[in-house]
Amino acid sequence: MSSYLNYTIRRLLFAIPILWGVFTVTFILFFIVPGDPARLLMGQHRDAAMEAAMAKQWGLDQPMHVQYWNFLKRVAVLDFGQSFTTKREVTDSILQRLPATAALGIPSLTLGMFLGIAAGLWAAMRANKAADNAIRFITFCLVSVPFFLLAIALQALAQRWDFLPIAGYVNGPAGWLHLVLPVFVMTLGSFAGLTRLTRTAVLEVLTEDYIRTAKAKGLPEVVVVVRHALKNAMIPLVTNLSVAVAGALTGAFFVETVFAWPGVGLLAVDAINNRDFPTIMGTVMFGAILFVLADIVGDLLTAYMDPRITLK
Amino acid sequence: MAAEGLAQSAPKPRHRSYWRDVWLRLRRNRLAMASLAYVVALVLVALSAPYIQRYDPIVQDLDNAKKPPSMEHFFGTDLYGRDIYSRVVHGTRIALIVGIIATAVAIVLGVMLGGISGYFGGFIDQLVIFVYSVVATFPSLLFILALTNALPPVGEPRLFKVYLAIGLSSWVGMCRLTRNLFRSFREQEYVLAARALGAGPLRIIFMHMVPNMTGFIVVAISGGIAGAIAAEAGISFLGFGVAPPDPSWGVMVSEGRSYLQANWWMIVCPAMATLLAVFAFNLLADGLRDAFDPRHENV
Repeated sequence: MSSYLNYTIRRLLFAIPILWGVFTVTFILFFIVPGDPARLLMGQHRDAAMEAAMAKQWGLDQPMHVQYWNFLKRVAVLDFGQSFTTKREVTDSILQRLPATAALGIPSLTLGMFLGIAAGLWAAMRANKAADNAIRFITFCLVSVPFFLLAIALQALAQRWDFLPIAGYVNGPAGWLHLVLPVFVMTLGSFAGLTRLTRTAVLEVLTEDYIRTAKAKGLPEVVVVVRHALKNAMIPLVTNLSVAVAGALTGAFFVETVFAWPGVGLLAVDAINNRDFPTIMGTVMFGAILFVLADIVGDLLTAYMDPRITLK
Repeated sequence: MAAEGLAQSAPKPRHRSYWRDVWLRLRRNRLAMASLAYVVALVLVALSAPYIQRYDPIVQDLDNAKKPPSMEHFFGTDLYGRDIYSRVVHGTRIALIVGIIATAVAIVLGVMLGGISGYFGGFIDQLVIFVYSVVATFPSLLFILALTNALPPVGEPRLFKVYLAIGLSSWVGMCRLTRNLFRSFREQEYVLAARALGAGPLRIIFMHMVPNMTGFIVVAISGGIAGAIAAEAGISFLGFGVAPPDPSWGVMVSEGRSYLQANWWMIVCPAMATLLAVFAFNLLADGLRDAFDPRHENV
């Protein structure tokens, strides 16, 4: 157990320079943009005195390196300051919108994982037969189709036949119907990727000696595949946890935009539209931290499941 | 006499080059060949766009707005009376330019950084790993959008910066692959031989090692173009990409979205164009992967 703890701590320490890099890139990308942020904030109603006051309030009148340092100190404790547009604390906005995004992300990743493993297993057992070809065709289409087109198409169908709410977020138990379409779209996304991964992994494992032994013992094929092959085939899936999370996050930007879903993705897209720097930084760092954590959890689970791997 | 005749009719030892083998394997794959034909057709359409378009793709004709498909307007007209067929044809150019520029940036950057890092190892390797870890950790869509906002409007086409942003965000996969390949290449005899003959590192990397991964690069070009076309459409849909009068498929989809129920053709035609192009490039990439590496087939 202590080796896991050691490993986790070391990985977290290694993540710090990476997150620092993400912070610095975001900072540079924002500040090399031509145009004074304080002026942009004022929009149509420009007024030199108010502009100066505004610049002072957000510290935009300071030299670049002072701003960088001040901001870095605050971001290190996850304080992104106030939004330029809504004047709310960015951390509060993110936390307030987190449940909506989690309501999409958690069920769709879970469902996508179960369905993906099942479909991948089935395809591998029927390799190059009709069922396999059908699954490969469907997942190929799902992987290729741009996500927002899929979301728009489903939304259009729902609107035409009026069988599901097509947009918006309703809090409480009455709102679960609003979840169906966006969760469905996101599930299709993670399902396709995980099916392809599972199929490849199972096919690879099926050629190994211990599988032949299991078959030679006379075990039924289902038992061989589910009890023996799946365990090892799960390993690449778990290793790719961070990829699945990153994919879900990118999907969330589009799904939340199409379905007017007030989650973190929509917050980020709006922030970039408004050049709301603190919110951009907050959402970027939120995504980056999520990715780093998923990566570490994935590696820990891999080591737990595969005794051949030692954590170093 | 007879012996001579026999010798003449005996099959000559045929020398099949590597590329010919690849082509023969690709030709057996009907789906990949159909995709290749579609890709060639797209290129021809893009090249001849000014000759096969029937109306100006940008000039508005408000009297003819929102007309359904007909013989005058194959795909109907949009909100401003522009001919959608001409716009889709013209959009082919934009889509291919996006694909080519973004993929070129991603592959050149990926191969160069990955090659240097895999060949030299040590501190340079650590540095490259750090850089690509940062890019991989950055939420990719936000990275593209922030880059698009930050880059100055450079050159022609006007949206060069969007294409550049897509390329700059998608080189990590190629970099990782090149790095891993080069770490195994570097121990092989031909590299030792080149080094013994006095070749410098740059010569070894680009003249000896990179040609050994041509297959991977060709596959990555096809897949990369598909990804870039999809990315451009997505970015335009979010309102960050191509400036509205330009007939990009993504812009047309987002413009048509509000009229989906009443004037379906406004969104369906550009959406189908996007979908078919992305499918074709992806299927071609799959076919090429099997053709370059027959062991990979069916796995």
